[in-house]
Amino acid sequence: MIRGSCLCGGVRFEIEGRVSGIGQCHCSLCRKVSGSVGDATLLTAARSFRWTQGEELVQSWRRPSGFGSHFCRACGSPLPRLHASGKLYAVPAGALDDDPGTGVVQHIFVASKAPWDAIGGDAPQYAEGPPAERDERPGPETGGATA
Amino acid sequence: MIRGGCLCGGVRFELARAVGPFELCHCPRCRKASGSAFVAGLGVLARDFRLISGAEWVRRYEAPIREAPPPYRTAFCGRCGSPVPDPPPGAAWFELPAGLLDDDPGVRPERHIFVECRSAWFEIADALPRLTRVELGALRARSPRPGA
Repeated sequence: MIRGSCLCGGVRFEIEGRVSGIGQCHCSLCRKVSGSVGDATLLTAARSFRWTQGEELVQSWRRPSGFGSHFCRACGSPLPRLHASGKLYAVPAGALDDDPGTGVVQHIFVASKAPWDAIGGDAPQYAEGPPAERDERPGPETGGATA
Repeated sequence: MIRGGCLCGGVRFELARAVGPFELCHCPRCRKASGSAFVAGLGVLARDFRLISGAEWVRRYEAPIREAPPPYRTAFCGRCGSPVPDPPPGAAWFELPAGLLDDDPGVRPERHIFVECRSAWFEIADALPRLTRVELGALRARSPRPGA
């Protein structure tokens, strides 16, 4: 069981099942969502994910391109979102209260990273998107661990 | 001029310059506020900052005090959720989330802070100094932040 929550504690969720490794996206949009170097997201099957409190506090916004943000309307924390396929949840790793048992497995859109962002570590770095559509491949293909 | 704004563009601002310090904070509250491994907090002087638009979008949250004041405060865009700059009234200096910047602020991160409570899933791999809360307190006592 991996639990997560927002800053104010109004929204809580649980993951019971496999999770992917964590992907960090350094694009300009993800930087604005996080206010930091970008997002850090893991994926899990929709059936493994459960809101335990405050789902009604989740607010979202969408660009015309489809890129969107999901956040707590009370405290602004980024929150999990259901992937367009309906099969996966993308979960901001910063919202996790428990150790997901995995680490950062890839960096994407590093060609557009902030000039002050010094990416460290051994995880592969991709100039743009990942070599295969990450959202379609949860689990071992993305270096995933079991929860 | 250094420009910045939130994801939806409702909140826009500009900076004449960034004086720093520029710190990467790994505390649990910053992790939740950013959804990521750390907040990238860039120090600026209030007089160098100008909000261009979007004051009406700014929503604020103040977390309960854990040990001692000041409380943890965060501000975000009520439309898109991005963290946004929120200079405290009367403060000469404050920190804003560097991820909002569209231009290069010129300064670079100086240190990781609150490293004792960093997430299990993130390994700090750069050569920047890594300070615990106690070490940061000692640093602040030696060299106060501008306007502090």
